[in-house]
Amino acid sequence: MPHNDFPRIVSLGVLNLDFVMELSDEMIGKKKMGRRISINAGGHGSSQSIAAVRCGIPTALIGKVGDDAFGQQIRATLELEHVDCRFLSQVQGVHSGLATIIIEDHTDNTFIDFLGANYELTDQDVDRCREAVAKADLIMVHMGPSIMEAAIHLIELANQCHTPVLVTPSVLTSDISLDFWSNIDYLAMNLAQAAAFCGLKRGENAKTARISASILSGKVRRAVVVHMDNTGVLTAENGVISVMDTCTKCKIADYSGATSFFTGVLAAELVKGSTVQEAAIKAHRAALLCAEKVGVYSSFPSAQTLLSL
Amino acid sequence: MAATLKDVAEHAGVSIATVSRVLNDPEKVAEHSRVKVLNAIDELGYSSNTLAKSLKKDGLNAVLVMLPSLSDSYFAQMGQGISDVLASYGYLMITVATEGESDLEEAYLLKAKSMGLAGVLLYTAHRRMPSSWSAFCANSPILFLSNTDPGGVEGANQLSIPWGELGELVATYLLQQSRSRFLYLADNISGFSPEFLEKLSSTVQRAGGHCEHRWAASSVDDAARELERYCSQVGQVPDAVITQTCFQGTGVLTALTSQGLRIPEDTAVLCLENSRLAQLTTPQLSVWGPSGYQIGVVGSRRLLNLIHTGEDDTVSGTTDEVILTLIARRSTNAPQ
Repeated sequence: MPHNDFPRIVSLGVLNLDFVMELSDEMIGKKKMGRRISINAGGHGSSQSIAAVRCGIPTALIGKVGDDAFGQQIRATLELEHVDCRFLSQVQGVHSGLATIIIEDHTDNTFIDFLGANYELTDQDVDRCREAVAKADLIMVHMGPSIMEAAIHLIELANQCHTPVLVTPSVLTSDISLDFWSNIDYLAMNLAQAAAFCGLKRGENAKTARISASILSGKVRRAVVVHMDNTGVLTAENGVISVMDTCTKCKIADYSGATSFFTGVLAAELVKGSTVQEAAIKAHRAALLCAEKVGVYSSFPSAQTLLSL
Repeated sequence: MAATLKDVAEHAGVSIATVSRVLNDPEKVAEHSRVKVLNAIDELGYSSNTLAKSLKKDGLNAVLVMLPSLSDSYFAQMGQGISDVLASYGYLMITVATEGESDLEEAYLLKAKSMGLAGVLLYTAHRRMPSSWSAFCANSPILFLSNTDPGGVEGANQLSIPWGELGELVATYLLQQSRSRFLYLADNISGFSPEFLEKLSSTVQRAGGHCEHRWAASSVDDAARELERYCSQVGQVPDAVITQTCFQGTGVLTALTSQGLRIPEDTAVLCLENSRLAQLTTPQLSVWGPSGYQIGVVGSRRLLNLIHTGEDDTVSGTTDEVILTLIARRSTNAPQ
């Protein structure tokens, strides 16, 4: 993409190399044997940007990788996907973020995150994107724990530039003061994030989604959207809640990547001028397609599939 | 050993028959005796039946929810909000429709007390908590979802909504549309607020306008009838009608259009309830007020915090409040 064009979406979120290993039942001595591995760019920042680009919206991401092979691999995947990497920088002497995901039959998946270079992202890095932020149609932020400060700074910057902001909270974001949410336009969550907002570790269901949406929709400027897996997608605008697309179902194999892909599609559809409801339905369907397949990057629906949703 | 009816009678210095009457026919007992008995019940931890005793022993987490109606959309939404919260935090919900009747409310409060419930959520037509109710709040908190002053009694609380402030905002918004003849339709149960009326009235009058209030039940028919009666009485049609509920707003639209009036050109209509119903009419109703669902959510979270006061596991988000936002649809002009 030529750099004199500005991206329509500026995206911020954690960048990792996803190392996904599917284990087989076979063991040799004490060693468990892997059946399949996939190594690709991952993390919320990467996945939500890829989703937006696959929906046809030019998207730039802000992020940091280390000076290792993982960093090169992350950049290679993003470039292959035509994500605008002008704000992606490399830190010397630091490892890139690495997410190890181990998928085993008959047991919960194991997730191990090493966030490495993500911690190096500073307010100055965000400030360097000011012009792009001002000219973008939407800023898309995942408030991951390692980049919380930079995320808050980017939201402030977007507010100064009057550019709308779409945020996905992390489960840790429940500690943030309620008033903070009046700085953002759209809030996208999954059921776990909605339950965490209510202060609940369990209870990931439509009830906790409604409770959170009801409280937060009075705070955010535009809408709250909750991706509720097989129970549909919820939108709340001005305290009025709608649940849609309850008939689209899938057999959920693996949630990883689904929430960030949901956010990316939602952002792209909003930028295209869809209503919140239309955007939410499309994002929900895309997220279910991700959840149906094991893996992160490998489970993402193609641009062509996205067109047909 | 668990306290018996006799223990309560001795502790309160009354006969067993009096204790029994307090539990079954409270209105037949003089207030001072009733308070003595209720205090004794508290102090001894008496439960009126074996089921309640066993539940209490096993830690029954139940909240009594008293709403005027379960079918009116405002209260149905409120019930849904309460149910969502209580279920999510592991509480049972015992729901009663009171028709806004004080006797029923008191009878159920008494039952709640003898069953040792964790707390009470109550929407009542009372503007101030009756003094006889104070004894009910000693062990389990009461939270009023209605516009009811708990009168500083410990254990009684209110979910406050800034109705006065809203009255001024609504008046200013409609005055900007060059409206001058205001009518406020509300019933005495679902949220009529004297503070709202006072501020609405005074703001309208300061601008040289005129503002009146009429009672109408929360139904389409009654609001339509009341508006027609008002118009024939004063010989004039108001150019701004504010209703408490969306049912009333729908009735007002029906009455106005049947007289050939245009909305909002001739008369603006605004409802003080944020409900889905507002989008079912033609034109769609503008609203500026709380949603029943949100009152249910915020109120029950507040109650759970009162129940857990002094414990570590409080519900997060105690600062959440009911949000009031103007949603201008087609029954009023767009805000400037």
